[in-house]
Amino acid sequence: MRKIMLLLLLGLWSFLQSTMVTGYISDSNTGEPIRFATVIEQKTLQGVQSNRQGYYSLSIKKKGKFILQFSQISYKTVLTEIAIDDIDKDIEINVKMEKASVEVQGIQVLGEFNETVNSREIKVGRIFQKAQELGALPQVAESDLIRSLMALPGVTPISDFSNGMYVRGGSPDQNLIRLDDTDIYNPAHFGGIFSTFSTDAIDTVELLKGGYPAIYGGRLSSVLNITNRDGNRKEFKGVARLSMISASTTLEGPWHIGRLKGSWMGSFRRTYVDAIKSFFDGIPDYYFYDAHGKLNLDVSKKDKTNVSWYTGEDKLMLDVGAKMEMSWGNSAYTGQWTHIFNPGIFGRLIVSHSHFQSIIDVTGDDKQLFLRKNMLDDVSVKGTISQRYNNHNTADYGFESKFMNILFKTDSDEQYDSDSMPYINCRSITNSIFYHHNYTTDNFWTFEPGIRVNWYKTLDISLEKSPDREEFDVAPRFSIKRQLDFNSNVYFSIGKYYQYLALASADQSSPLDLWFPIEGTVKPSESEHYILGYKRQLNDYFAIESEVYYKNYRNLVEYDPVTDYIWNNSEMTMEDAFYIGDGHTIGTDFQLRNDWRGLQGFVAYTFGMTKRKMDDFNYNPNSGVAQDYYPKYDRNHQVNLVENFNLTELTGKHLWGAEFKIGSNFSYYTGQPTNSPEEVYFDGEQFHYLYSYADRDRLPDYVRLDLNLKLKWYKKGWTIEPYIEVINALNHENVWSRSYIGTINEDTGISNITYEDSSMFPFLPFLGLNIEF
Amino acid sequence: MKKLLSILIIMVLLAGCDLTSGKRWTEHRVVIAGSLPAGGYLDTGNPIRIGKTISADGGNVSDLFDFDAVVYLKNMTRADSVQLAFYADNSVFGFIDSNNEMKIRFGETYRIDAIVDGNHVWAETTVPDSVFITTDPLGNATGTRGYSTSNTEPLPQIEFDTCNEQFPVEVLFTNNKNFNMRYRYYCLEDFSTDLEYTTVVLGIEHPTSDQEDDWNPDFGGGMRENNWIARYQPILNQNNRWSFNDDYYASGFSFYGKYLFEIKIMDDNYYKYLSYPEGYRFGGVNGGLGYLGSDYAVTFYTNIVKQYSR
Repeated sequence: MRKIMLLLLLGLWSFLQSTMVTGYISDSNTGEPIRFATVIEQKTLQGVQSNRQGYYSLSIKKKGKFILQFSQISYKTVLTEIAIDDIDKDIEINVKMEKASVEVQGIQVLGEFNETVNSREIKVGRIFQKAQELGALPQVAESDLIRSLMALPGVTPISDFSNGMYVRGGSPDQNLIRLDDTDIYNPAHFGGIFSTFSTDAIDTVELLKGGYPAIYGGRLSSVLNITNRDGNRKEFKGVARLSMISASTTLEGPWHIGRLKGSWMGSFRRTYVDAIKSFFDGIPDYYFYDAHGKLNLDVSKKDKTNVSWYTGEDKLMLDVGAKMEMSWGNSAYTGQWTHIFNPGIFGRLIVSHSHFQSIIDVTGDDKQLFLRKNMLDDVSVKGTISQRYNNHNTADYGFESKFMNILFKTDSDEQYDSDSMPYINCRSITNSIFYHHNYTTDNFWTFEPGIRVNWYKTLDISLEKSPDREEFDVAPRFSIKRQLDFNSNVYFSIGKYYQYLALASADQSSPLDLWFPIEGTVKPSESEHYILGYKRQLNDYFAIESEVYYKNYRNLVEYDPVTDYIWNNSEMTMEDAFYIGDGHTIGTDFQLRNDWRGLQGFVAYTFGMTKRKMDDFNYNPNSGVAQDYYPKYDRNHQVNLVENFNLTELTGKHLWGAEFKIGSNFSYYTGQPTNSPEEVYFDGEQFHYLYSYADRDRLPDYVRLDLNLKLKWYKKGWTIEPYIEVINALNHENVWSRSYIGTINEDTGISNITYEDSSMFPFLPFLGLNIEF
Repeated sequence: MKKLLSILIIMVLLAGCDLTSGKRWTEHRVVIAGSLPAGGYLDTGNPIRIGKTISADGGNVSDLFDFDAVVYLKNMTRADSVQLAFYADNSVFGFIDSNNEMKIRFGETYRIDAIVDGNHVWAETTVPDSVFITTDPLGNATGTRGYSTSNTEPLPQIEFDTCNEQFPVEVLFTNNKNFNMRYRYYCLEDFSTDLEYTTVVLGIEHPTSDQEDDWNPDFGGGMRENNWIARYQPILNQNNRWSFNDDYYASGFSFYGKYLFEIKIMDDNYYKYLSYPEGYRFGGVNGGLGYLGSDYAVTFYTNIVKQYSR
């Protein structure tokens, strides 16, 4: 026993015997933190990454001289020599990194290039991107964060008109979307064509397509982490943009209170279509706006605080005889405090409020004909500790407490059956604790076990027949990585996930979607992810990554449209409003990335197969039993080719004195499942179809090529960049929906079915202008 | 790396498989379709259709109708029964109570039993309670203004902008039970690009020539017709009668011109059949598809105009 104690003590002694090298990494021009920069000690090859606040910590166990290498895409690598004379003494080194020159800066399309192949962390299904690089991709009218992500392997759009992301077979409600650690519930403008995030206000975007660690929970499929920019800490800066649909501006600069310093950032965007509608017929009375803001203050060397906010709204007004006003939008407010307890322990406390609201208001002759109101409030408190025990052991642990209040109500002055006018108000609380550990044995093996424990409870629900729900769920996660050599690794990840929210959605996400909490009649949805991955940096110019995955789902919840007609506040529960079922997805993503002589981009292939089986949906008419089916967003093959060509970088030449860039984005998807009429009957007034199974046929394949051309002039203190973008340059007819037309041959009495397809975006050119000062 | 490639190849091979389902409706189904007219009889104006489904593509229309079915109408409240006979002429076909033996009474329950190709199919309906429907509760109708109950020229006129105010709908009930109601607006005009929308939305004033096929499609519906269906509840009016009053319904008249306007109170079977997705599952038919409903309806005719000309 004594020997064991002695060994433990010796182990603890050596464990404690190390120098912690810590500090913040920031941009030398703006002072903004540089997130996920790589820090490597060149002798031992021990490496870490800076966190989302730009903070890093690295432990070195012996005395001597060491060289730390700080690197990040678009920045010049910094080498810093340190000398450790006393192993007990920690060292603080704050690093300022300078942007690389234009010629070599490049635009990194789609994420870190030589990033994390040899990182100590296991980055399963992860894409990380600087938001400024989103502008490299050709887009509809203007750059859009979520639409850019849809060029990625494993992320499938359902149509050109919706930015709902279907990530590896999961539906949009299964994606956890966070802005500065605050959940956002319906981030779509203009019916889903644009997301609510202004790319000028955003610093980084991180998408975890599956297998995400225990610090995240509450969704089944993916996590999208979006971080607002902090603002320039050195000088006042701004940018103004004008596209064919909106105008925007972003301003930023330093500020101080006494000796305390910080920065601020504000961004505003608004469409102007409504301003010109009086000159043109047929233009709807519609606008949307976004506003982002952030205020940072360094309270002390160890304490930083910030508050950030987002607000955005869409408004549509139509005169259809009656006056119809539709509005929907989000707002989010976040307060964050970070504290360095000691060089190895970094803490964050976040308090946030997220609000989503959609209203449809129809009035006529001073009468309320119809009112539909959906509101969701999410108040959360989160605390996370990131602890570096030593270079082999780090951990993230903490808690999250989320209070939700959801209201859905309808009203009318008309004499509708009042019980059939839905009124649902539910309050719930979800408390979670989590622990995620990273253990690296040497430079070859990495283990990441994790666990998340959730306690969910409904506090109050207005439906008389709905019982309460109280759930205690344990969600383990585990990943393992084997570094094969310096340039490649293979990894495996499994994880269990729970979701306590359901989304009532009409087949593709829209602002009319309704979030519902689960109550006593509906169990939480569950899924398990199994992911096997491989990454390799082939050479300085090419890298590949590939993942094979399997996800299964239980207690999936999908809205039953019959509910619209049968709803009764006194009699019904959530179970009556939804189909319940199971599903699974199997697939693989493969991506080859290139950065070669000014040509940057990637080619990606995704194969995926998703199936669902929902009670009482897609039933066999003979047996009455539900059949499994491929859902509407199941696109089995997906090919994306994204390339940007910087002519100036390649040749050193300029066009008319401007930097000249061409961008392209080619997408190919196989057709979506659809149903079709199989039988017809006559009821005396009309013929009616009996439709097939939901996946009887497939719509035609989707093909689209987008191009953009940009010229950028650099002036003294400002730049100007006009651009032209062409969407669907091939003018390929991509089918959005199919409607069937039945006719009867008058001579033969034989029925005949034909169809008409509605198409998505045709050939569309856009012009725009960006000015930075 | 080789193993990964192998997995990829297997997946691509799997990808060659047909990722669609087989046929869902492998047999034709028996269909009952019809509504019992409260206060009337199952006559040539209100037959019950008994038939089958046919293939949507390549099916023979004559197979839709089953002339040989044996069909009974039963009054479950009074334990009475009558066999229905098949009737067909140029415009009407179906099963009727050819001797008017069984009156359809408000509030009573009826059942159809049919033997079709040896299969027993049945459905029940409870007729709505008695109601009184009017489109002139304010007494504003004259010979030339308002609604007519017959489609006889010249039809009276109604100004679109004053329709709600001058001719609101009123339905009187004997109790406060919730009820199902349909407004049916059917434009009697022939298609023309001169037709004018009553409400201009996004600058569109007239239909375009490419919409002609949608005016009167073979399979029914189309842009000449609007149907509004909902469940309502009566309230006590100033005369202490349970009533439904609607002074905002005119926007269902999409065009200026002649209209058939029908107000129909219907039972739950009929309501579900018309409004639910795959309504043929919810129409109360056992052993088949379709619906057996019951209703009380009044049909009006008018000419919707911008301004009165007479």
